[in-house]
Amino acid sequence: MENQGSNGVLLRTVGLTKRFGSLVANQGIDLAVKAGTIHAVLGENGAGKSTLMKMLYGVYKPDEGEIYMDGRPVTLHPPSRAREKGIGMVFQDFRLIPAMTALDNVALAAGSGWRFRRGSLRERMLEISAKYGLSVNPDVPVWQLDLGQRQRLEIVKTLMAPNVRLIIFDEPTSVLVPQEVRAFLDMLGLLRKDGFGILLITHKIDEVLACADEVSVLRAGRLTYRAERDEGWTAERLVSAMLGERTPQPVTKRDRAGKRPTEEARRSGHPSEEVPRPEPRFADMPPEALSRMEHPSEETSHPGCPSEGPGEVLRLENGAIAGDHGELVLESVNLTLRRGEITGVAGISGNGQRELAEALCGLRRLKRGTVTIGGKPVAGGPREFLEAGVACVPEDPLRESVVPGFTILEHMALEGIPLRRRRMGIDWRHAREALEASEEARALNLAEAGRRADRLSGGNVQRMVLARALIRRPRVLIVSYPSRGLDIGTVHAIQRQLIGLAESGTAILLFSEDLDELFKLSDRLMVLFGKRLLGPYDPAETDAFRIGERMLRGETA
Amino acid sequence: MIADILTGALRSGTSVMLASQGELISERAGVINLGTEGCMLAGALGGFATTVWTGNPWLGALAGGLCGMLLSLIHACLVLDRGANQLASGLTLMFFGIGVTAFLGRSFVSEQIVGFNPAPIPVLSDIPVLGEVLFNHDPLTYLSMLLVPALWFVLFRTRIGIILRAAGEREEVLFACGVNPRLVRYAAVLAGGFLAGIGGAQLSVAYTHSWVENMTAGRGVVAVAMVIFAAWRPFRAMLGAYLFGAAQALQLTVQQQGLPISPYFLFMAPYVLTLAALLIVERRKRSSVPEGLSRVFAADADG
Repeated sequence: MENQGSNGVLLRTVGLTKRFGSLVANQGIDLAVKAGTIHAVLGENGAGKSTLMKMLYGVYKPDEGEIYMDGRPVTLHPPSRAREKGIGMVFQDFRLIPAMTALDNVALAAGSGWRFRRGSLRERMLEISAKYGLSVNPDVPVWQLDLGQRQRLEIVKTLMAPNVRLIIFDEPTSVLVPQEVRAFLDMLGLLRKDGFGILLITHKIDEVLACADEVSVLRAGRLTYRAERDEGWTAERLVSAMLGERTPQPVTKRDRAGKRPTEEARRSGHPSEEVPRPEPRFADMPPEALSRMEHPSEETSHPGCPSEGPGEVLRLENGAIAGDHGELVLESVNLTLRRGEITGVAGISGNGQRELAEALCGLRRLKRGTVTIGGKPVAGGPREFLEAGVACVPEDPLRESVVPGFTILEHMALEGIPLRRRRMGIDWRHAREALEASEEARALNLAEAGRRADRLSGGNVQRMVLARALIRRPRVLIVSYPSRGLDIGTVHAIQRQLIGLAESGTAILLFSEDLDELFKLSDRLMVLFGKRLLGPYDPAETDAFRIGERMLRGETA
Repeated sequence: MIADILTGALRSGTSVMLASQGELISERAGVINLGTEGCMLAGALGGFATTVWTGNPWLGALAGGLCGMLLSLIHACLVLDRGANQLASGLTLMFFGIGVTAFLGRSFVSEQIVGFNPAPIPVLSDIPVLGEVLFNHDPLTYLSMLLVPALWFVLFRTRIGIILRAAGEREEVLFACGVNPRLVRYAAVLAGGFLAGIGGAQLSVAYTHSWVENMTAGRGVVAVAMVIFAAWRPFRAMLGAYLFGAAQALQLTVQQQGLPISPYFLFMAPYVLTLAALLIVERRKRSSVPEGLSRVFAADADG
């Protein structure tokens, strides 16, 4: 189209195609990225965004099609060649080494020669940090950084490559808290002003609307829509390009306070049909729960006189939890989970979410305090918590819940579907039928049972782990970031499943970084800040702004 | 007597120390080489034989290093190219080393060499106690003392060190940086074998001036243990190796004094001490274990 890179076109692809076996991941992709613009690539999970980006970063070799930079045909495989040509990538799962300091990580990527000059490298690093508002302490080991900081480091690292002109961001905001997203988008603006070409991979439509100059929508490996900002685009147009004929039904928050599931619903495993309830919200709540809500900062329970409210399933009293390196992460934590209630926990990442979740799953011993489940104290390891009816969906299921080489079915057999004996072993056919018949698996659109779990996409792993927890119909579900990095359709399916599970009587503790999600699902909200668990707050009486303030400044705000 | 034991600690600990520094390089890059014992033996025999033939202990030390390297090459090929299990390969290599050196070394058992001899450093060696302990050794021991700070510098202050450690932590990150982790690991395993070989040569050419079948007697295994005991840090590995040497020296001293303790019990003492050291060391630093040590890199990494 254009001749020799006029119009500032940095990179153009023509008919790019990539197949994995019989699966066509990308089919005939035409894309053009101009210098000084933000080009968003929008699509659901599994639409082929990652494959496309990996071809542009040289990880995969395209099967068909050409790539041009500045109008000249180029080969980008392997990544070192792509980097030579000035392409940088900020990965979703950061390419950082936790055991090394930020500066060492930068030296690994940006340095050359065998000696590195700490002083000058650090200076350049701080310079770039200051220029784009990407503050990172160069001397801290990466494992001590939270996800937002890690991302900033990853961006600094990319910017320090000698001739980088085009930067690919892979789902960058999926690891950020709402307050950080704003700053991130501002930073993208600065990069654009300095003439970088930016490819922003995302499934969040509001981000595209907020910052992109151009958008390409991928669905099932093909480009379905392409537009520039001046041409005018609407959220509705983008959604339909992304999802095709399917239109997502939004999940609505429903009033479940005090609602008790019927025995019938519990036995049959179906959530009871939702009927709007006209009663006031706190009508059948115990008075002490009410008073707790009115005075959230007061200590709610006094050691020595445990008052077990009705419907109480799990209680953590005066808990203190240590981190990976023995440091105290949380102290004086009091938490009560009730039947059929979703308790949402907000907080900036790294404020003890993982530690609290692990403590409630028995993976991490309490330093002080007690956990009571169904009136009985539980102090053992994960086995005891499992038997008490606790199910967990960890923060990073790919790392913590996936046995490499196992199929989905084998994961289900590990913990989830009930197994039947067949001669000396497991009746696998029965297990597979049970899995395929299960409503949870269908509702979550689980991948085929025989597929190896370590070859699944992040979204499919998340679905698998959730389905496994749901199938067990646990008494208590501890779930961390269920919608992180997933597309709208899946998020809604998951949220509906969680609501359904709560209605059937499970007490749910939900960690999330998405305040909308927390407000939509939670019966009560709590905030992790400064080693404390604040709250509970009533979602109807507070708002996202006030919760955000607590996340940043605690109760003094 | 204390001075004797300390001097002996350095003298008999140096071979373990060299081997442990080599193993440290290898493990930092993510490959554990239990065959270190075999590499040491190969080095001990190769070094001794070369010294017999040429009369030059320096050539002997070099040849010892090369022999160790050759043996570790087998390990590297099996583990890095064929994807063999590191532990299985290493263990087998150890017994292979014991056997092959016993076979090839039969004719050298009665040989005599001059080898390395203590070369007291002028002035410094006259310092009471300290001079005797630190500055009255063979040249190989002095060199090995310089090796430790040098290795520390390379590991933590140069880009090569960063690349090496990255290979042991997350190879996919290194791969994404355009460096082939397999090559780095190859180099690290070979360097480890070279140092283990020199350690073995120190034993035969500098310390005992003789070749005896299976003369390392588990020092290579102790060296591997020392690396873990030292949490993959060069100076701590040196300390651990000298501790082992001290136990050896103590055993010799006790024997010389004619105390009524079974010699078999005394032979056991250094290993018991090593076990005790491993027991005492806190396991608090989970993050100090190179992440990649237990994983074997799949060549077609998509990272």
